[in-house]
Amino acid sequence: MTVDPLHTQLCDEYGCEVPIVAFAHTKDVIAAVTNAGGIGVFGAGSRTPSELRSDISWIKERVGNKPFGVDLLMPASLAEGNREDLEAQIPQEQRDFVARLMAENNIPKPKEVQPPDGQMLKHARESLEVIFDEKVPIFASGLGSPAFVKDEAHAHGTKVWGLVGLPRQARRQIEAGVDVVIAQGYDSGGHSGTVGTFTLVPEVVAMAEGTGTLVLAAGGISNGRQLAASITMGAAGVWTGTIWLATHESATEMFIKQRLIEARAEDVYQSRAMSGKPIRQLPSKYGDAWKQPGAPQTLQMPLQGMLVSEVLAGIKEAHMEDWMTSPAGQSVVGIHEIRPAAEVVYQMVEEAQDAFDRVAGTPVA
Amino acid sequence: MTNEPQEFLDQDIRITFDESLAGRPVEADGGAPVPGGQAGFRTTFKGRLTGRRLAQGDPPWLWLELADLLEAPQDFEHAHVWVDEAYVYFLDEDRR
Repeated sequence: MTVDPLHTQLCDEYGCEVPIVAFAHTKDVIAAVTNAGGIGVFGAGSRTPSELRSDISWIKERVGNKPFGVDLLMPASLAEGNREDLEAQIPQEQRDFVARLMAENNIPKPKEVQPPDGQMLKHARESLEVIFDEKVPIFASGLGSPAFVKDEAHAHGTKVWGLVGLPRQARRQIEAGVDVVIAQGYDSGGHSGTVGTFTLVPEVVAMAEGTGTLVLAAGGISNGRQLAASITMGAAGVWTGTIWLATHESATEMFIKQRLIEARAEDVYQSRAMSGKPIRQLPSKYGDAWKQPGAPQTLQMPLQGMLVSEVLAGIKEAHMEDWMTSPAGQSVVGIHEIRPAAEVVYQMVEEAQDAFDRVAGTPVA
Repeated sequence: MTNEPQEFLDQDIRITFDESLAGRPVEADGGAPVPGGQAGFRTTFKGRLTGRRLAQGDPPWLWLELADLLEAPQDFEHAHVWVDEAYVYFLDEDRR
């Protein structure tokens, strides 16, 4: 009897054909990956509840009963602060730098600047209600712990997944009975953790053993060899993000797709220039400007975000391509062309099968 | 009676005081979405609990208030921060 190593417990429990999970902000990618046998998880962080409801309906119409999920960036900390008091703390040096940046590079003042979300908990809760109401098969929390809604989610038939960057976060989620823990290593895009994927995943797998919680490997994964390695480490599959940005179905701008193809692993850097906290992203003139000699230090959160909200909105409105960026992980190294999402799934599977065959064919010394 | 921060109004929030928590040293993993974007950030806090606990909605989403942030990240200016109870680690009993 032969065993298919790519048919993992994730496939048994969720009904997917292959243990590949795609995180993307474009619903077309979600439908394409799910229909290709994987699981698409829609990043709905910036969607309003009514937009999210419409997105979910759209995905359901295209995937039927196949598994998909919705990811929310649930907060894990909340700082109190009076906006006027905070504004007063922004030093003149940084104000002058941003003003100069806008003037010298013809960055226009934006028509509209999005204010910070003062009702983060309420808005997160409203989005959760939509997910449960629509009976989405999977709710994934991309930042904070989803443990508090586990029972309510299960009552609606929704599985609960949580993304972690540290072993202690994984332990808490496993103890709380979360269905899947996504162990995300340092290589990932956006808010990456501080521990490498190859260190984090086996430790979390060992914690989860015998508990019923499955583990997905995340961070730097873009090919089938890494899928095979993840399964060998004990993961039930992989969680991938950056690789889908350059697919045909992705709404990512074409110039960003081109930069993803050209970028090397070492090109994507962690910059504090957007929010004051490190976010791994593609290089841009905006990020580079803060690294030039003579540039001031970035400010602490939330002051940096307040300082630069206008310049970032201006760049976006004026569509200044060289100045725009996208969160991206070191897995950009695996992006060589713009392809259909299904083809990416099939190639990862083929490469993983080859990797397993190669190892199985290696004589033991 | 506590003064509720403006941003907590109209969010179905109850704040209570638990004396058994007050003064306990903790570490906490925090983070939040970056306003206006699709990214988030992670950060770690270290300090002492004030004893105030916040519960939002039903089922309750529980948060603890952390102060004395002398050992907090250098880039944090606030005197207090609310952290999700799920990611609070008690330094006097629970260092794993």
